[in-house]
Order: sequence, then structure tokens, then C-alpha cells
Amino acid sequence: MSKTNIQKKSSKRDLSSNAFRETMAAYGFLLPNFLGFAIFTAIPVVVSLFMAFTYWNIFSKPIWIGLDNFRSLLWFRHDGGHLVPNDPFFWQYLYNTVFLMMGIPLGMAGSLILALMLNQKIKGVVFFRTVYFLPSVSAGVALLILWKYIFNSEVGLLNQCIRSAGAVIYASKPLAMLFTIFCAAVFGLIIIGIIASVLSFLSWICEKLKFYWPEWLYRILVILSSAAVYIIIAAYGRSFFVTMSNFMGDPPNWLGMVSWAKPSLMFMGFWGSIGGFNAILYLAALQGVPRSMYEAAEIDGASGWKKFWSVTWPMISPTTFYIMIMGVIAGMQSGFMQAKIMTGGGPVGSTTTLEYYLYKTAFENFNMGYASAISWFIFIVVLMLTLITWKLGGQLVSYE
Amino acid sequence: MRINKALLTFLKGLLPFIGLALLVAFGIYLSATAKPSSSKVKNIRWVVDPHPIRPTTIALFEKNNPGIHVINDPDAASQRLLTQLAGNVPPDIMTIYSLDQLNKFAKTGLLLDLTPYVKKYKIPVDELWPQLKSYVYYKGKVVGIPENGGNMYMFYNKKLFRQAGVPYPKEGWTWDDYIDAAKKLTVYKVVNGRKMPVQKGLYVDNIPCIFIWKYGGSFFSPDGKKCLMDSKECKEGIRYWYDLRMKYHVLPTGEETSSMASMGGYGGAFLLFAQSKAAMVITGRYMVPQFRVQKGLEWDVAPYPRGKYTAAPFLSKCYAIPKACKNKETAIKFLCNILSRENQKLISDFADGLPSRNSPEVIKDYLYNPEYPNETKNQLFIDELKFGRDIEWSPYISGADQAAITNIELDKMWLEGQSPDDACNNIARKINEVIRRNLANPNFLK
Repeated sequence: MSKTNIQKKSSKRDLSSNAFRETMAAYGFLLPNFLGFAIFTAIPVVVSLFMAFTYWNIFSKPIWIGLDNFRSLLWFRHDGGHLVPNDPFFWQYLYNTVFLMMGIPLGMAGSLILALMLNQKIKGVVFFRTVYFLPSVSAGVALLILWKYIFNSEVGLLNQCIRSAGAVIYASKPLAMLFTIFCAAVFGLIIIGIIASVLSFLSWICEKLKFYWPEWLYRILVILSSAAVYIIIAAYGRSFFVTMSNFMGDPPNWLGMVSWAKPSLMFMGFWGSIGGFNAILYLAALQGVPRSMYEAAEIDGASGWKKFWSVTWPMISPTTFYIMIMGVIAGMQSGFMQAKIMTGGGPVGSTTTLEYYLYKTAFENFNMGYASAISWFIFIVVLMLTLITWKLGGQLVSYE
Repeated sequence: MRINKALLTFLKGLLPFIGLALLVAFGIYLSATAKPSSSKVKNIRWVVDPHPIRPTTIALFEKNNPGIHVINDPDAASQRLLTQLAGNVPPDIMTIYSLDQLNKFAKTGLLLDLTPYVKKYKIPVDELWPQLKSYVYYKGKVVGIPENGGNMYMFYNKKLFRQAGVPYPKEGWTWDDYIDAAKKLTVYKVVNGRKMPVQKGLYVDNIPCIFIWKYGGSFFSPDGKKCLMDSKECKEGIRYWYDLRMKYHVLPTGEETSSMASMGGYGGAFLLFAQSKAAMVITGRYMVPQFRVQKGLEWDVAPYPRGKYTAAPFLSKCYAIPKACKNKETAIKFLCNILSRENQKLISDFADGLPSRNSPEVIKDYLYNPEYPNETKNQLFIDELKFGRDIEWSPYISGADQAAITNIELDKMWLEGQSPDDACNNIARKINEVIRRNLANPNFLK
């Protein structure tokens, strides 16, 4: 064997030895984390899957019952000539959970707007960033108790403000008229926004089906529906005025009324999510958009809105996508603290979510197997929603 | 062979970490399984709510039993307690708050049978009030030791009665007498054109049985297999309750309660009474410590409203020892101390309900407390016990499910205009559906 060959072989060995050592070092560093994950996450997850097929009251040995828990959770049966759900609560609580999740897009939009504002080069921006991040570092329970005070129907800050504002506005007729017109305009804009979003979604679906809408058709539909909305609002102007004045004079019992409890919690969640980690993520994404792209857009004569729509929005779409996925996952697992601290799950069970139901099943009914079945149902729904979001949302994301 | 050498070097590097991890794990194991006997002081753990009387109870026990230290594990909510039980590190004494839970725990064989210890340590279970029997026995075995108990009584604010010119309640007052007084004691004021409740005549917690028993109704059939809320008697009771709140407005609505009451604090909405915003309240003697410290509150207790079917809710809780408890004998000592004359006097003086023992010396201590000479009606709390009745429960539906269904339907009645009759029909239908489901699937009952 020549000297050169020996040298080559030796250097190969060195390389493989180094690579092996590096790999082993990597595994070594990963080991504690992996052990922690296996002991405290993976094993309990596997055990809970097993438990979902058993009846287990925590004190005695689990009894294997196959799919009974899932049947009890999801199936219906005939009882006294009626078709009734096996579980009298599950479907209502699932509806509550999904309803409360509708606040996620609003929270995302709020976070984005806040991040855009905090991304401006103004004096004291660090102070504002700190202030808006504060809700995330404050104790959750304390905030919930604070919100309970705010939502109190008689002495709460919110209703006191609404009543005081109502007293000022409705004391003068012109002011009351102006206020009604303003509210009607805002209300109309919200409705038009929803219609435009639905039309955009339909247009996108049609595009996927290779059926293209002409741009003018979309615009005409939006204009016509806007006109229709404002005509309807004008036609019911008097009722609108009365409703608004009643509302301002006697605002609702936010947490005590079935119709307001869920929107109140959504509003609270909206407030909490705006200045949280989502805004930080958006801020980071906004700061990652290359300046050169804006300069190019400016050279092409793009307006502020056009720059946002054509440059900023596509560039931060991976962040939006990530926040959306995380929001869906968190949304299905939310509602415990609010129900426990603020509403007790009421009124009429309208604020009980699946997560709170899971807790009650496990620790008040002592039915761990059934609670595991609920948790696995939540997991499957989260998985499905995530896959759908991935499939649909993934097509709207542009990775540079 | 350089690879093996490299592996060896790597493993050598990893050894200290593995050693450290093993050391920590061994330390955790040792501390978890350490026998307290190795130390001179024996520790026992008592899982109980954080009532202000607990430190005094513990101090008394520790004074009488040197060498034993009681660790108060307050507010061990069910998830913590269940985790401790499932992990086989149970507390030495646990507190059980409802008959439903007591039966559930006892049925699974989780609780220590105290019967042999009753004889051995002469635990005076025979001296307990007969109303407490259901908190003591399960299938003839002693499983729980109650410390206190008592009915719900009618407490009233003497000052508000005087101001309204209403005579104080007296023996024989019916529900109608109380409601007449409550109407006169309900006051509103107008603030910025809004009619605001300032004072309500009566406050009653959301306990439907108070009203259904009034008409001789029952929540469940005697065997517990049927909910009877759709019966004529139950409907009458719920209608009466509805009228008190929605027609006569003597009871605050949920909205009024949350607006009038200060939030938080021990006693919750009963602070309405303590703060003189409710002239009368139906509650237990356990609220007396709260009333005592409230400045300006002149309270007294009156007989429970009489009628054809006088029955007041009887409430208690009991202490039990888990079978897997490692300090059984010490825990038994603690339970003996619970029923000792000294501890029972503590209950009397503190007004944490009525002491659970019906023995002459305990009653003598109970009847007069020199610190509170104005509390002259302590005998009434005892006399009313004959009307005491356990809150109804069924072994065929969990208390949590029963409460959830009942609360949802009653909420619909209070908030959405559902009629009381419909609420009763819906409660009965839904609870019976669950009972039938549970009976068809015995796993739900195990």
C-alpha cells in the first residue's frame, strides 16, 4: 500500500470518527430533553390512549370497555321515542368551544395592526412595545378577576362608561343623530367587510375549481351588497336609533346573559391576544421584510395599501400561517380558567368548553377513562383542523 | 478501533451526567419513601379546606399529642387529592364534603373501615347526632367522622327589621309570614332614572330542595332510580321560588346579587346579609364567624319557616382515612381528637356549625359562650335539627351531572323565560335519560 493511500484512509477514518463523535455529542445533549419528553409527555400520552378505552375511576383497576367511551361521547340513542345524545352535554360544549374559536382571526388581525403600529419609527416605541406586551406577563387569574369586575352589570367599568356616554349623547338630539349615523356606518362597514370576505373566499374556491370570476363581477357584487346593506340600515333607522339608545341606557349583564356571555369572553380573549406573543411574532416578521422590496414598490408608484397588500402581507404570510395553526390548537384547548373563575361555565352552560368539561369529568365525576376519551377527541379535532388549515392556508403562504 | 475509543471517550464524558441524574433520582426516591419514624417528630398530612379554625384545631391536637406534627394541606382541590390517591401517596386524613362523594369513595373500597378502631379507641360515634349517621356509616361500617353539622336556618338583621317597623320573626312563622316581612324589607332607590336594589328582603342560595320539600316533593324516588322533578309538588315548589324572585322581587336575581355583593372573600354572596343588603338569609351556623366580625351587623337566628312539610337542608362533612394511609394509628388519634370535648368546644366557640357530639358536657359548653353573650339562641340550632334532611342524591347519577343539568335548566328559567313547569319537566327528563343510560351501561356506575 502506498503512503498516499494510507494517508487517505487515515484521513477518512478521522473524518468518520469526528462525524461520529459530533453525532453522539448531539444525541448526548438531546438525551435529557428526550428523557423528559418520554417520561412526562410520551408515556402519559400513550397511557391516556389506553385509558380512553377503559372505565377507570382512579381508585380501582381500569376495566377494558373498548369503544364504549367514544360511543357514549359521540353517539345518539332512542329514549322514550326520542333520539337523544348519549352524553347530554358534549355537543353543546363542543359548539361553545368552536364558537369561542371564532375570535382567533379577530385577535390575529388586532395583533397585526398593533405590530404595524409598533413597527413605526416614533419616539418612545420601546415603551409602547413594553406596555402592549404587559397583558402577557400579568397573572392570568388576576386579569380574569379584573375582567369580571369590568363586566359587572351595575358597578362594572364597562357599563358605567356606556351609561355615562349614553347620558351625554342622548341628552342632545343632534349629537344623538350624529352618533346613530356613525354607529350605523360602522355597523354597515362590518357587514360589508364580512360580505367581501365571503365573496373573496368563494372566488378563491372557484379559482381552485378552474372557474375564474372576472374582477368587475366581484366589484359589482361588493358595490351592490354595500348599497343593499346601507339601504336596509336606513330603512330601519328608527329601530336602530331606539336599539342604540336602549343599549346605552341599560347595557347588558355581559356575563349573566346567554346571548352576551360568549361574545364577552371573546372580546376579553381578543384584548388578551392582541398585545401578546402574536404581536411580537408579527413585529419580528415585519422587521424581516427587506427594505429593498418597499423601495422597489415605491419606484413602481405603489401606494401604502398596495405596498402592504403586495409586499408586507405575502412576506409575513408564514408567520400568519404559524399563528393561525397555533391559534387553532390553543383554541380547542381553551376556556378552562374563564369558566372556572368568571362564569362557572354558565349561564345555561354557554361558557363551558370541552376543556372545562374534561376537567369536570375527570375530577368531579372521577371518570378518568371518559375524560381521556374527550381529550383524544379534542386531539383528533385539532389534528383535522390543523390539516385543513395546512392544506388551505399553505396555498396562501409564500416562502421566499 | 478508533471509533470504539471515541465512543469510550464520549461515554466517559457522559458518565458524570448519568451519575448526577441517578443521584438526583435516588434522592427523590429516598425522600418520597422516607419513613417519618426515623425522625423523632411524626408528620401526618390533613387535606382540608382553608377554614380559619384549622390552625387552632391543629395546635390543640399537637398540644395533646407531643411528637406529632400535622401538616395542613389546605385547599387540596379534588384534582390534587385524586392524584395523591392514585399515586399511592394518600393524605393521612382526607375531607369528604358530600354524601355522593362519601359513597363513591366508600364503594370503591378506598376508605379505611374504622369499626375496629371505634372499639379500640372508644371513639364516641354513638354520641353523634342521629342526623349525621349518613356521614358516618357505609353499609354498616364506620367510614367517616364528622366534626360538625347543622341545618340551614333563618338568620335576620335586627336593625333592618326595626328600621322597617317589622316585628322580629317568632316561632311558628310560616313561609308566607317570612315573605310578607321580606316584601316590607325590600328597598329600591332611583339613581339617574334607574331603579336600583338597595336591600332585598331575603337571600337564599340556589338549593332547589328548600322549595320542593316545602310542598312535600322529592328530587328522587326512594330507590334513586327516578328523578321526580316533574311531580306536582316539585313544580309547585319551583313556581314558589320563581315568584319570590320574579314576581315579588324579594329575592335578588343573579344580576342583582353580583351587583350588590362585594366580590371574593369567605362566604361569597352571603356577604349580602353581612353587609346589611339582605334582611334575611337562609344559611348554616358556619356563617356566624363571618357575621360576628361584621361591624354594625345586629343579627339573630329565627326558626326555619314552618308549613305542612317543614324540612330544612342538613349539611355536614366528614373526615376519613384512606386505606393506603401509612400512619393509620396516628391518623386515628387525630380523629379521636376531633371528637374530644376540647375540640368540640372549639367548634362551639368558633361557631363552625354545631359540634357533632350530642353529649351533656359538649352541649353545656356549646350553649353559652361568655365571649358572645348576645348569642342567646344556641338552643334553637339544636331544636331545629329535627327538621334536618340530607340533600338528596342518587347512586345512579353523579352529583356533578345532576348539578349541571339542574343549573342549566334553572338558568334558562331565570334568564330565558322558561316557565318553572318546563324547567321541572326538562330537569326530570334529562336526569332520567342519564339514569337510564347509566343503568343500561353499568360501567358508568362502577
